[in-house]
Amino acid sequence: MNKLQPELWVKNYSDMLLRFASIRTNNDEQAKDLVQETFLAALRNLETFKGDISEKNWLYFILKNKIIDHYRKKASSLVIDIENLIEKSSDYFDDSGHWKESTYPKEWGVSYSDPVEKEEFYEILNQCTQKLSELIRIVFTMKYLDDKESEEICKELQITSSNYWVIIHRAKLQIRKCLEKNWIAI
Amino acid sequence: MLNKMMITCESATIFVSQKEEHRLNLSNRIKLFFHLAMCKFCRLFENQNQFIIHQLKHTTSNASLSEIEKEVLQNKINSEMKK
Repeated sequence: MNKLQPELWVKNYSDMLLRFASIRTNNDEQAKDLVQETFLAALRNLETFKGDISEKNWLYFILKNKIIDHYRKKASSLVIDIENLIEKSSDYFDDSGHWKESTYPKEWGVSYSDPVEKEEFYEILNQCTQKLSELIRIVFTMKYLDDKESEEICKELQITSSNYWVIIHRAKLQIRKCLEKNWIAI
Repeated sequence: MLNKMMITCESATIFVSQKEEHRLNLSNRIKLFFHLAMCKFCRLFENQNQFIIHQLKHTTSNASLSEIEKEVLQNKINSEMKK
């Protein structure tokens, strides 16, 4: 049977939870707030801990819910941006729907099936993800970091499925382009 | 007939994501298949995106709380526990 030891939470879990939240919120201060809220919410709900999962997993579970709440709040003020995104597809494609010459994807000269050894790559990938506008970043993170189903993402964030595809499309175009510009050029 | 089979690169790159999530119907899957066979740019787009998505799982953060922040937070927890 697992037990809770709140007097050791900060020592044992705070950095772990903070990193998890930080990758997902793209904001360390926000992530710190979420970790604190997680601990306080956990204390208020001690009786819901049945000991069938570990203390660590229980805290992660609470944090994940806090992050989704955070996304939901953010998204509700951002859904209006979607109209702009649709217009902006002209950044990449011409009127007939073909790649613009300036945005032709280039061969990167790497093996696309292997992990990249260089630390530098991940820094750039991270920067490229951070450059996405907030709503796009949230959708992209929920999908590809947390492997959520698109229905669930649409439901949580109150977006339509057609908007979901526009957002994912936009995210991929933008990150691919950003990596090509900043990483491949090195 | 052939015209009906043709899709634009813009559509093809959207279909790529829908295929990845198994949300592309048969007729569009066939259209995408032919498009990718002919279009090296969209093939690159697909391969590079799979690569990006795969790498994304290896992203890490080095955020951490300072010793002082940790102490403040633990004190908050302790005082909450006494209530």
